[in-house]
Amino acid sequence: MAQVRTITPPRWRQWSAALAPWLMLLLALALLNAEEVKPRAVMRFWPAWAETGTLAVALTAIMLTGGIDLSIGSIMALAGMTLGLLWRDAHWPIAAAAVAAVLVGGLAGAINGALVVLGLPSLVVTLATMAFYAGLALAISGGERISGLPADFCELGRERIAGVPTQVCLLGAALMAGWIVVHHTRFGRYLFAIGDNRTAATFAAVPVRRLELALYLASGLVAGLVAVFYTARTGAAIPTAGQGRELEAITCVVLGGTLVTGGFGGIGRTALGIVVLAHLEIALQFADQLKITLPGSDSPWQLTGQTRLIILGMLLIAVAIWNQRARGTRA
Amino acid sequence: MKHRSGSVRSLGFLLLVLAVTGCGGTANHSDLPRDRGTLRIGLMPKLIGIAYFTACNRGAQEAAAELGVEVTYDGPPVDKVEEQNKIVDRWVAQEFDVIAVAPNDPEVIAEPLRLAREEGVVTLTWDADANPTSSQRQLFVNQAPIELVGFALVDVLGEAIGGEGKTVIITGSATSPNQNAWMTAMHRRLAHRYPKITLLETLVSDEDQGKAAQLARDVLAAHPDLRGIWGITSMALPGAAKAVRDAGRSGQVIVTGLGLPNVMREYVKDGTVPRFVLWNAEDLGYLTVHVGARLARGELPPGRHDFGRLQQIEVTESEVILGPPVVFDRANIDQYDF
Repeated sequence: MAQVRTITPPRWRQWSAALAPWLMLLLALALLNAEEVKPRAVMRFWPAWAETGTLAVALTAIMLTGGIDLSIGSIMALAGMTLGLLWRDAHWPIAAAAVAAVLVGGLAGAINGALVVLGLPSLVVTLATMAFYAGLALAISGGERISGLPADFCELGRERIAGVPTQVCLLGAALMAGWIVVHHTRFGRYLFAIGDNRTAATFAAVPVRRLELALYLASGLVAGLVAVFYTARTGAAIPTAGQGRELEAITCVVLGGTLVTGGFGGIGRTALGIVVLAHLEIALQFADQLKITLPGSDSPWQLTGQTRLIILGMLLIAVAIWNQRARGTRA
Repeated sequence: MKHRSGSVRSLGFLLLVLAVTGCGGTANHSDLPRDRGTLRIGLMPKLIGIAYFTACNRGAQEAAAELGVEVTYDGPPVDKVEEQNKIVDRWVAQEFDVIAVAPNDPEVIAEPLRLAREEGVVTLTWDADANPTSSQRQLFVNQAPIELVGFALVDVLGEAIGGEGKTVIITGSATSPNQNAWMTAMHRRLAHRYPKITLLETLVSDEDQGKAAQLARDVLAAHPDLRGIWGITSMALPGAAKAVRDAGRSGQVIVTGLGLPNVMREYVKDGTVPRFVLWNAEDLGYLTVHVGARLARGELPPGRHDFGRLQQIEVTESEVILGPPVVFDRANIDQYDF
């Protein structure tokens, strides 16, 4: 790890870093209000974001140790295709296929974990497995979608429990579990210790390797579980599912204020990050007819799918830099 | 105190941002007809930015101008099925009156379409159908009956080679429901009308033009007496045509199939592909908007109806049929631009 220099940054920087997500949420809500979008319509986009959010919870634990998991989107695709193929070609009952999908996710995560424990940087490992798992999902399915899954299975991804979509319930459960594990167990304290200084943690008898293996395994299991809900919601196993989800999940974590370099952050922050990013993205979608003509330009600037991505990317970089500076930590 | 001043400053910044975006927004919203009297129709292609669907949109905008309705044309920039669902959800939230989708997947689109109809939106499919039961879509605007497309494909080649000789079919993917249905119709027509035409085999090109060309080259080499090739997707046809032309066997081996006029123009003019089959994409978009507007304003019982410049269009319980496919040849191909 590079040398870490800690200085106390000006108070206003700390304040602004804490305030930034709230401001963005306000901006998103104001945009939705300006576009006259009804709350019920906004809620329709929640299930998809709750899936991403659930990934972000597991990712938070990894990022607290200074690691990263870029393969979660690809694991989703692999697990989803496992579910579809076992059901259609091997004629497994759908429930058994779903369990197998979660386990395949866990296996993929365990492979990530094993490679990280071997001493490879998590960025390199999961970048490689991101391509590998996505390719595997395409290979086993021949690139074909598997649709026509049983209707009662699809209900799992479309039902509401007391008016709350199942995915949002899943996210709630994940946040609760994540909060307890990260902030109220010894395991959780170890995460911060590793993120602060991995070498020191090792010398302090923190079981770093076992912990890291568990973290990536958990991340894979969660991705498998999310894949089941996602597949149920769309009603089809899609080989390209989950593409780009890892970036959205990372953005949620970073937006909340968890440091990319580890050692600082938490589940509550990620919860805020999820809410902010979700509503910002939903609001930007509705602003598709918003055209801004910049002075000195003839053609109006309009929000499209691509510009939305650019905005989210710039946001991620800006917030990451700002948070790092606000903590006075520079890697 | 410090806390207070920080928040105030941030609040000021927020208001500034809102003022800027707000102004930009309203200034331009005014040039869109937003009053509730204007019908708002959402037309979604499988993906945007490709010539075929752009041509559909040209026809759709023509119909929109005639009818005084607003047609929003939007779709995924890449073939990503979930994007279509998101756009349907958004259009429902924006209170569109009609949503017409060319689904990338008949099942995946079903749930959002069903929810849209529950909200009172008129739901149509066009170019490709969704699962009619699970999507509850009202009508499918069908570009051409499967049967007639298959028959036209066989007739175009059968006439060109005098009703006898060895042929092959190059298809896109083994599991495409459209392509398989066309081939079933082709087999039936071959058996009835052209018993002397031998169909050697059906080759799968994975929707890849290069692979289609390779398959055609192999077939040409293996069968010096080959008379005809059908390329029944817009990728397989130009691939096969290129292989035949490169082998110097244009005219001796007749190539035909389904393709886009702009892509096939050179092969039609040099005789490699004397004629090929498709439908009029502009008319398809035009008809879809007309049907949507008619349904939103009232009933559309089964029977024959006129829709603007398209006369006597057949409407059944679940489909609107544009008509028989168009056969493109040297004489008419320059009238089409897609």
